[in-house]
Amino acid sequence: MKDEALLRVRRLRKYFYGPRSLFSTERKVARAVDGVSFDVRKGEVLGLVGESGCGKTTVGRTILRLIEPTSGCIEFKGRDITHLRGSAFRQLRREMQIVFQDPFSSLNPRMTVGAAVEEGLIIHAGANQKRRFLSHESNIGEGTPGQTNISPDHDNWTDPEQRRRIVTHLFDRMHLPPGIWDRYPHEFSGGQRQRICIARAVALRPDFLVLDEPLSALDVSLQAEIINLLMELKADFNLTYLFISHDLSVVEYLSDRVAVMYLGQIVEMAESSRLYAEPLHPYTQALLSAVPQMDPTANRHRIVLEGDVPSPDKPPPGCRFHPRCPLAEDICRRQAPNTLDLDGHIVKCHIVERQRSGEGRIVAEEEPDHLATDAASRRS
Amino acid sequence: MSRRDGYLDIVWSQFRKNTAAYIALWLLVPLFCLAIFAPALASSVPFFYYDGHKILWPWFRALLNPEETVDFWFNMALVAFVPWVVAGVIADRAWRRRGMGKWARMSRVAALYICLIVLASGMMTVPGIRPDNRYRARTFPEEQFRNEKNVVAFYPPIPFGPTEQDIESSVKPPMYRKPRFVTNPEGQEVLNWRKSNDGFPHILGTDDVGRDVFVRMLYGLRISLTVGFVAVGIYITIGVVLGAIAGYFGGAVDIVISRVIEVVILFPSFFLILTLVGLLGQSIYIIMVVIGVTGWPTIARLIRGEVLKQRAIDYVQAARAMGASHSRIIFRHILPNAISPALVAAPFGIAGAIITEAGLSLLGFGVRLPAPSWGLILRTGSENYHYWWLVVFPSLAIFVTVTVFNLVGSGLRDAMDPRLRT
Repeated sequence: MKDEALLRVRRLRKYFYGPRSLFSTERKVARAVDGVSFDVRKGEVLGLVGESGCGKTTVGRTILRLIEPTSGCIEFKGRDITHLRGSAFRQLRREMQIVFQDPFSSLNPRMTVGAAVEEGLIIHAGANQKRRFLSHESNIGEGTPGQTNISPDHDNWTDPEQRRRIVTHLFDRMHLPPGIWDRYPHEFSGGQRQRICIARAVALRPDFLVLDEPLSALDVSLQAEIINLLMELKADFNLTYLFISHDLSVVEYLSDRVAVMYLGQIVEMAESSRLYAEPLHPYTQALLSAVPQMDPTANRHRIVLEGDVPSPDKPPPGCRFHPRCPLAEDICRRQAPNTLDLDGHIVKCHIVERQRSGEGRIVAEEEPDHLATDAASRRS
Repeated sequence: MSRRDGYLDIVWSQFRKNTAAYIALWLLVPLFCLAIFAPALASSVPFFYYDGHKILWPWFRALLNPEETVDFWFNMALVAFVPWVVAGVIADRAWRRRGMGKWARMSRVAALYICLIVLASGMMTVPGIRPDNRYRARTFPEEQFRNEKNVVAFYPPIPFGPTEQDIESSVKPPMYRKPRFVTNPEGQEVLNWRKSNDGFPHILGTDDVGRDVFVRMLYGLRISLTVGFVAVGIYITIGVVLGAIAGYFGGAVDIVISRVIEVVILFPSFFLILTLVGLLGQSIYIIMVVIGVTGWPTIARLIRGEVLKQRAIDYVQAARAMGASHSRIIFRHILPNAISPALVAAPFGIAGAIITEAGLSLLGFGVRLPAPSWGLILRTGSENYHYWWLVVFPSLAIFVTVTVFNLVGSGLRDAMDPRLRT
């Protein structure tokens, strides 16, 4: 089960187009996500880290098709969902859910929290009814009964009483105070709201959950609680997470694998332990060296990056990291690096490639640039 | 403010701090009661009439057979009022026991009233149920009073109708009471009236053909309120729906609707009504529809902007991720958060529509005589300023009504200030 890819993302691109200027046909193009490929295996937590503005959130939202991708391919459970429409798409909405960064804006202020969590069940009640009957036989013996009362195969979402029971049970499960059904979001603290948001996402019994920096709006003590809650839920509901964060220590704790993004591209991706022990890409090394350490006397070599992240509408030529890279060479300025796979440790760097190309294999030649511009011109 | 307060509770507590607006809101209650209970207060037909042999109920027959459609709706509101109060109190208690919130109960009780009115109107339009109206003319009892001795009739407190004419007492000043004895050309004192309630004074005087000004103003209130509410109801509905669609879908839809807004906002509705009245004839319905069809762009703009703002907030994305349909997102998620500009604009719009109707009637393009309207009374008064009561009282009525609605609107605007949002 472990190796089965639940989600497969290939060469995902999302370009945001600026307004056409008056005297030229060119439009400003922000390449928020530019050729991102990764797999999320069933039952794992893939951490996605990077600076703000590097396209992490866009990746998360594009996977859920909250933002339509410019090009590329998203496969979920072996089926291409990039252009899914209609009832199949609605079914997909149940299977993938998202928890947003800001718990203050992600709950409708005019809806009681009970109604907000229940709403998903109402929307999918009909489809769930169908599923109950279709999967009645095939599901016997699967899952772990007794662990939780919430089972899509035994609950009738069309029944208001049952919906209420499911949601109340979930609130209990999230350690929320009892009797909060008729309360409004503004009556809750940030941590409680985030729990409600998680309850809303989990209520639909999804298989895959995108956690879009769910902890960054919370203080540290709450973060720990939410992390534990997330791990419990993952075990109980057989969830798979895409955990988007800029907090490296949280990602290290939570994730099985970690992908590091820089300026719309994944520069390094590996098993969590491996990445933290042996970061190969200079950007990852710089990031890790910036993580605060518990021991102030520890001898650390801090790599300080110069300059800011370049704007995604004018990405530098060659390797995108070269203007800030301490190791940058001539080739970095001219040519985009290939993706090198060192036995599951994927890295995108000329220096690493030269040093260790014997050990791994080159996954994909970098797409020629004209393909990207092609996609751009098709859109505009 | 308790912790359990919803948005409406916050708005309400803010609204109450504004004393003028709070008083104005309560002034709406007598205003509506006067409009609804107008026939019970002033009517030329008696509640019951005993002619020595049997009892007739002319008032109830007249209630169900009004000349104006507007009057019909208000009469039905009057018919449904008592059942509503009874049913409303019972239902409210039941709902309270079930733990329903204050605002949910209030909106349901209001909806109950509308249902009862619609039900009553539906029943009374069936010819078999509705009694025919044989007693419309005021003269009906009077002639019989003259002939018969032992006739009993019970009139509403003010025994004048809004359209009945009495040429003997034209343009009389306020508190004019018809003399019981008049001198005939031969110089003899003769009995003018005997038993009917003609001795009741015309509180605010009479107009050029002897119609009672107070009663006409009372019934004119019904027309003013109807024009205000129906016109604003039409344009708020159009404006909210189009504004929400433009703001939510964006792109080409937004461009088209925005251009339509820009065109329609240029229409001078007052002169459009003048043109249409010239083409189609005088009708209060044309006024309502034209105000409604030309007034929506401002609302649509406000709602569009608000929806654009709300659409970018994460809860909308969360609803999308949940698989909610567009209409569900618009009507259940975005609009409850974006509707306040429309609610604030409504009382101002009602005030504006009342002024427009009065202005049109004043010019003679509005309500057709003999239907009562404040503008029409002003029109009579404007022909001769000597009859001051024909100018002062309708103007005062317009002034008070418009001020009340404007005060409520400004109170609502302050109370719904976006800074209060949590």
